[in-house]
Amino acid sequence: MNGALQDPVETFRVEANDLFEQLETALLDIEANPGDRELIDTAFRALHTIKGSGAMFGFERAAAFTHHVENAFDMVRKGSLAVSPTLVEIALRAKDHIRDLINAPENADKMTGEIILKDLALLVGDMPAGDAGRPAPTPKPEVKRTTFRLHIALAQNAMMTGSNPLRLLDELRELGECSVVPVTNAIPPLEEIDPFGCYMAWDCVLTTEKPRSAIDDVFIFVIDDMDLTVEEVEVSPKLLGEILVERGAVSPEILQNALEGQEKLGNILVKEGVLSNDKLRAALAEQGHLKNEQDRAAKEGSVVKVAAEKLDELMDQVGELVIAQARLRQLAEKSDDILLKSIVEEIERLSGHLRDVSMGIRMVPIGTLFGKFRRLVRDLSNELGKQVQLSWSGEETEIDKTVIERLHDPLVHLIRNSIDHGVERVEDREAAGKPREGRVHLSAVHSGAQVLISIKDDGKGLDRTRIRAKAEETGLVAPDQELTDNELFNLIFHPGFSTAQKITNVSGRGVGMDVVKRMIDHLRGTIDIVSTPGEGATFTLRMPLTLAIIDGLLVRVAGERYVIPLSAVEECIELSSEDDARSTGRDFLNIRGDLVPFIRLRKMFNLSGPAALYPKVVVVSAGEFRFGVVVDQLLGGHQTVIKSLSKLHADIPTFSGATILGDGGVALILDVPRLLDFSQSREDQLKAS
Amino acid sequence: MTFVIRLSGTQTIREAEGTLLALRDALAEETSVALDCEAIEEADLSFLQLVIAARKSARNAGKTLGLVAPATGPLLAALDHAGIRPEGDFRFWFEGVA
Repeated sequence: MNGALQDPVETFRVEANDLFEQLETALLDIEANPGDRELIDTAFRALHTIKGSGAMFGFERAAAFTHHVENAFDMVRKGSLAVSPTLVEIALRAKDHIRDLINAPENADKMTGEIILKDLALLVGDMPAGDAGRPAPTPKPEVKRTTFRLHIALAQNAMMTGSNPLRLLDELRELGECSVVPVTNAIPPLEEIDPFGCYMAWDCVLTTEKPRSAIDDVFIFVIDDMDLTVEEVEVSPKLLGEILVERGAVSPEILQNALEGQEKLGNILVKEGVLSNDKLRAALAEQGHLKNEQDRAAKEGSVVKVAAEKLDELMDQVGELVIAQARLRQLAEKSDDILLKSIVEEIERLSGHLRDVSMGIRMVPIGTLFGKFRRLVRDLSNELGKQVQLSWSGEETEIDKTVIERLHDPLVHLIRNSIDHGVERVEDREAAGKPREGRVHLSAVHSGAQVLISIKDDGKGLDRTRIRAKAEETGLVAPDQELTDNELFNLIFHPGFSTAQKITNVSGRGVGMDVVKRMIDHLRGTIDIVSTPGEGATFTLRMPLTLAIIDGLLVRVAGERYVIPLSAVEECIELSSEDDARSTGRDFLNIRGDLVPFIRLRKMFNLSGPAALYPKVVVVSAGEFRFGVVVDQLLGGHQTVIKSLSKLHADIPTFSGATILGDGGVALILDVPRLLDFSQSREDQLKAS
Repeated sequence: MTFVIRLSGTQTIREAEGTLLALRDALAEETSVALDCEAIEEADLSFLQLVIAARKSARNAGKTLGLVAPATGPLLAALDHAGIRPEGDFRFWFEGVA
């Protein structure tokens, strides 16, 4: 397969990066829930795999270093080392170092590794420090997963001889996924029981990567006197009903009705007295276990990792196809050939479907991005001496992977800003009657062809007075100028604007918020701010779902064609000759009682061509602002494949790209927020001159 | 009237004989017995078996035996280790009678 990752080392790096994310998530969870065994196991497994696979792919330094951290977590699992904030702290630093050793081994600092190992040695006591170069034990190759059915009945005197049956079950669970069902029918009534006897037995189903002998090892000290049966089981084939539904022979509803009318086999057998409840429970547990195992295997088998650039290439090709298809359609419209028209329709349907599927492949849940900020919030809270809890919702919301990648930096800035400026210090929060711990909540939700991403904090909110004072001091606003909340808050995105009284490492240098605005504008997104004094602030980013193909409105001005992104269009109205004549001095329209300013593209772009008799106004919105764009003619909706402008044209502020039309011509895509900025600055210039 | 047996501290094989006697005496005298397990700090398999055995005896004698409150803490952990889940005749561990 051409699309699959070819280079095994690169494949390992991709996998290792997934493991780093898992490890970091587990470590941060451990910090919150130090007693959670599963989390410790997850961290241990991630370290174990990084070490094993690392050594296999030639990353000996990384493997040797990881070995020490893995050992520490093994000690935690065995109960000889306690989970502590220091351990988590060291492990997080170790994770960063291992990542460097794998992603850029030549740049990884040896000293950093040695310091981490020394700290770790101090914590665990007996670990040799400073030998980051010692080779790790050669990892065993991965073995296949096998599912075993076990029946465990210890000797009746097992507890008297010092065995702890529950501990043995725990050791069994450590071998893999294990379902344990107790069998209690051998427990006699109180009058007959020996209080020291072991009567309970267990039916288990275990799926493990370990060999059969590992099971015997668990029971090594009691195996001679116990009853242990172990048999391998096949992961069950599908049930008849599942196959019938999959083949479309019956609908899920019909199947459900038929099954509801039928008594469950287990109940029938128990009623007839031929099956005990214990045995039924064990069989149902086995069924559940095997189903989980089957689902897991199916999930694993159906995922193929593909290099990101291959997806970009696919999207480019789909874009070309959409353009070619538009040309074909235009050709067909001029023809009377019915056969040609029907084929064109078919191709149009197929290319539309292909476009949707290709865009779907590029969609990634935003949760992958949110998860990355946990570490940021943790480190930042420690650095600033604040207590901040990060939470999120809507993590399953999907958005184009390029948008996600480019959202990372702006979100980092916004979260930093919330923690640094928004969330108060613990003593201030207590004085204000708020919980000691501040909250930063990230959320994502789809809204048409856009996704809304919010960063909400429960801090003190934006300081209107200070923003106003700073804006007046820097001459951004006149002292008597009236500003709406939104206008005032938007000043913080002005270059060089910072109200922080003390410059910290985090924010307050006045670089950041303007960069955020620029980056979001560049992605054709907008930022809204809502702030309530004492209750907190919410920054909402409104982002397009994709950057590759958009729905556009094709318009004509003086013989030239332009595309306006449909997501920005609110309505289209005719510019009446009275409005046109009246507005030559001041360009305002009265739309249902609202005064809406408008710009004339003809004038703005210095176009000379035949003017339309009945010009139209496309009312667009950029954030809170609404304004009209006067065009000669509306040509209709257009599937717009965005092509970047060349480097020579990259500085032109009013266009976000270009697109190729069905007739081979080119139309420029208007960048609505920048068009507004540009027209305002031109107006300012004109007023000044 | 339900007779309540308060159990506390460790309930392991070391205490099993005493617990057995307490359960046996209570079931001999009373028709309804409830175990208050909230103060249990450690429990092992022997304790779980004793309670199951006591349920069997109670049922055979037409009496009832349950827990005052759903199992929590160390007792819940022991149930989990033994694979006992809130289903079928194990439900009583997870339902209080009070």
